[in-house]
Amino acid sequence: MNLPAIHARMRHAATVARLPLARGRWSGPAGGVAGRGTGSSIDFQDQRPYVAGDDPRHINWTASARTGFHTMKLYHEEVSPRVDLVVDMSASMFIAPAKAERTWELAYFCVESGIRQGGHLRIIRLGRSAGEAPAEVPLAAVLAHDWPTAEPVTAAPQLLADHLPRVPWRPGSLRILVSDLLDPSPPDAASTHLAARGGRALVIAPAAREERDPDWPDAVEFEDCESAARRRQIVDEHVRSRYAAAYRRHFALWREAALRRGIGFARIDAEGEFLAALRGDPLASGVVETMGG
Amino acid sequence: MSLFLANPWGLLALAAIPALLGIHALQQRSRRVRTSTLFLIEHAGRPPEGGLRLEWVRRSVPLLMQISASLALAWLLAEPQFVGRQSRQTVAVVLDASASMEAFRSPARQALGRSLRRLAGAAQNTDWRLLTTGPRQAPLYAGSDLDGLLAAVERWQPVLGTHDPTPALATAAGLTPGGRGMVVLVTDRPADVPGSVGVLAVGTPIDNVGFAGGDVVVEGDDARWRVVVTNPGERGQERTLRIRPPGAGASAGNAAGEAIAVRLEPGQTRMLEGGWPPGTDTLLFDLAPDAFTFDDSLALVRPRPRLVRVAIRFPGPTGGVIGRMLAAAPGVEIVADGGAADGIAGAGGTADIVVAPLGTPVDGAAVLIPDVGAEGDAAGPAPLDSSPVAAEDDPLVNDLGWGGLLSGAAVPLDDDPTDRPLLWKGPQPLALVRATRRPDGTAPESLLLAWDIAGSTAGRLPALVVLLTRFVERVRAGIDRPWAGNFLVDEAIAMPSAAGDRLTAVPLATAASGTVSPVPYRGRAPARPAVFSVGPPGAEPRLRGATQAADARESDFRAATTLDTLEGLRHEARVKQAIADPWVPAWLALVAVALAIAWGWPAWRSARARSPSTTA
Repeated sequence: MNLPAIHARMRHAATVARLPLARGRWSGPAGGVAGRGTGSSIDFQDQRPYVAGDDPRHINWTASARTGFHTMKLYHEEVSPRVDLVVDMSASMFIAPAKAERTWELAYFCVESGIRQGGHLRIIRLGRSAGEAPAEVPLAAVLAHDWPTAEPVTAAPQLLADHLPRVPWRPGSLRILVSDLLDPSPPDAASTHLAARGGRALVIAPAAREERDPDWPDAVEFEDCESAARRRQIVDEHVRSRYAAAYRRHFALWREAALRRGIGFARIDAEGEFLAALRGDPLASGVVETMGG
Repeated sequence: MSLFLANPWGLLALAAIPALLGIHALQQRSRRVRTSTLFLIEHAGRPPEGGLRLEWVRRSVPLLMQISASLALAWLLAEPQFVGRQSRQTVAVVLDASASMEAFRSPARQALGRSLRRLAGAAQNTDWRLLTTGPRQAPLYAGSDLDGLLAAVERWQPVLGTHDPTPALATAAGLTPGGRGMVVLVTDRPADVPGSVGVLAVGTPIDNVGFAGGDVVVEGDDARWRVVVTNPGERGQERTLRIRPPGAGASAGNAAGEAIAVRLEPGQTRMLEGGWPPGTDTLLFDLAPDAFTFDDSLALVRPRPRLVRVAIRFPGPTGGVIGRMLAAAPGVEIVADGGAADGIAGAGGTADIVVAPLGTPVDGAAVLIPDVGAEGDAAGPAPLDSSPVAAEDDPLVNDLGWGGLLSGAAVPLDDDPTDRPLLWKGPQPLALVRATRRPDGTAPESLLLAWDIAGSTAGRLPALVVLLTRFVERVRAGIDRPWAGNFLVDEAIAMPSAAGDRLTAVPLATAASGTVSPVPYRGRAPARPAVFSVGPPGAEPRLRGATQAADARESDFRAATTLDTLEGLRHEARVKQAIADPWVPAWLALVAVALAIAWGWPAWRSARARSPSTTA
């Protein structure tokens, strides 16, 4: 996969669309994005009575003259928002070339968009191998396209619901999960940890046509791309329809769980041009927004 | 109602089924697919219980349609026929009565059992007839029980020589009217039969050595036996010949001599002879048994001729001519006339035939001749009568030529109601047979020759010699004196009419110890080689004899073969009895529909699979 080329395209895409960091109040070191607390920006937030220790430069003298009490002007804090980008690096994310490319596009789009908006990025690689803990990938390595991508086949891959609690979410951060969510974990259980510790979460799930509308032969020996488990199956119309129903239900549950927890949720087709794909479900669900929108 | 296939080769269409399975298996070999949604697939369906291939075959609509089409096509090509419950056929089995079949009775019965059970399947009801090719043999079985027929085959004994089976086959064909049946000839060698007759040949070439015949030559008080042994086969054979009188064991030496080793080259026939042991009436000759035992034994009795005594009471050249002619016949003795005291020919004398002048009263068999010289014809012989001689249809004159008989006119004879003319010269009978009825009911015949024998060419005419010989034999048949002879099997033996006579025939195989019950005498020698006697119960036998195989060709098994042409007949008979499958149009439609579905199904499914789907 040509990661530099993908990165370059996403750098350009980040000038057209962005993560919704401009809205909301974020936590983080000083920066250029409105924070949750009071700070020294020029955006008026509130006023309150003066208490000892306040900076006298922010005393509202006009109000003090009018009321006889010292009143303080409070201004919004400007922070560099914490962005925890979790990229699911399981084998299923790379099962098809289009899906693999979309995964890298989403990862670099989030990185570039976060950087452009002054985000304080932490990139976490979410593997599925048994016993493997979520591992932070240094930003420099990401920008140098130095990703450990080889995901070994494991007999019992970890479930998403078991893995997400081990991610070191930062308080008040924007949590972005790039994952196809193709995991038997209950969506309700898995999504619980995304919005923990005061953070806001986004889930972006690339969806490949091979998974959504598979063109299987009549007799198939399926092999799980992560566990190598096999299953022989006659694929007839009945199986096809039940699979399609199960597939739709799986993501409907995810969408419902995300909605219940205020998590932005979007699925993005793996096929087609990236920005065109973003204009679908991601834009409609507010997971991304256009510049100036 | 039963079913059969008129064209079983049509079932070859079923070979398309494994071919279809193979082609589909190659086309639809299960592929391994890496997937990220196995946990969703597990919710979509159960894994196949009988294996992936079997499950796929079960579910593949095109394959099922193609298999259905193949089955229907095979059914159509096989031309199924149904035999109705009311179908009926007659199967006439004709057994070759030739003695050679004796060697294959067991194989014949087994082969018949198998073949006839198959033939029975041609119709729901079968009437069985069992005949033999023997000209005078009665049908052995008639009925609807096949086991009964086979039991009759078990009891059957072939004894005849080579003969023509055509009359028996024609009779059997008459028993299967309307073509609702078939005729089966069971033989042991190739048979030239009509195409409508099935042949079941059960023979195989076997090595055989047997007796081809035998006789006894009597010269005065001495006698010698002669037997002919033959090996018709293609390999040299060696046998042991034992000679024994009845009552002596066959396996040991005997009074007549030790065992004789006989070596016969391929195709060789040897005559063996020896002196007849004194004091013995019958000798049994046994060869070491082989597969064909019919000719392995032979019996000879010392002949005791039944002489016909002839008395000449006709002086002069005419009596001399007739006397010489009668004496030329075998078994004739010219005797002095001692019974003519009363002037009645044949009355009280020892002669069986009296040669006397016409007009002499007779009480027995006689040859009566006109005494032309006694009538004092000083003019000499009568002038020749140019009228042709015409012969009646009578066994005494059949096939005889009388064109060379030059004679005068026939002497007028007085009429008698018993007269049976033999020859005519113009309007007058030239020769006739006249019966003289006795008080005891018998009616001896006299031969009347009504022309001047001495004044004609009769003395040089063979026909007259034959006529006299035939008359002698006819008289001999009526002589009631004990006699003995050797005969062929089933040979007709002329005997005096005696309704109470019984035939006691002891087969050679049991001649040493066996006793058999007498049966009514039917005028023929036993049908199998045997020692026999004929006579009234409890009295001295009138005839003692032995029979031997009549036809040495029956001993030759080089042409014996195995052949079965019944299958074609069975098929033909079943087709005649059956009706075709009335559902042929339906099967054709099924083939068409199944092929159409098999052809159109993939396209239809693909179109259905291309239905739009979106990201849920």
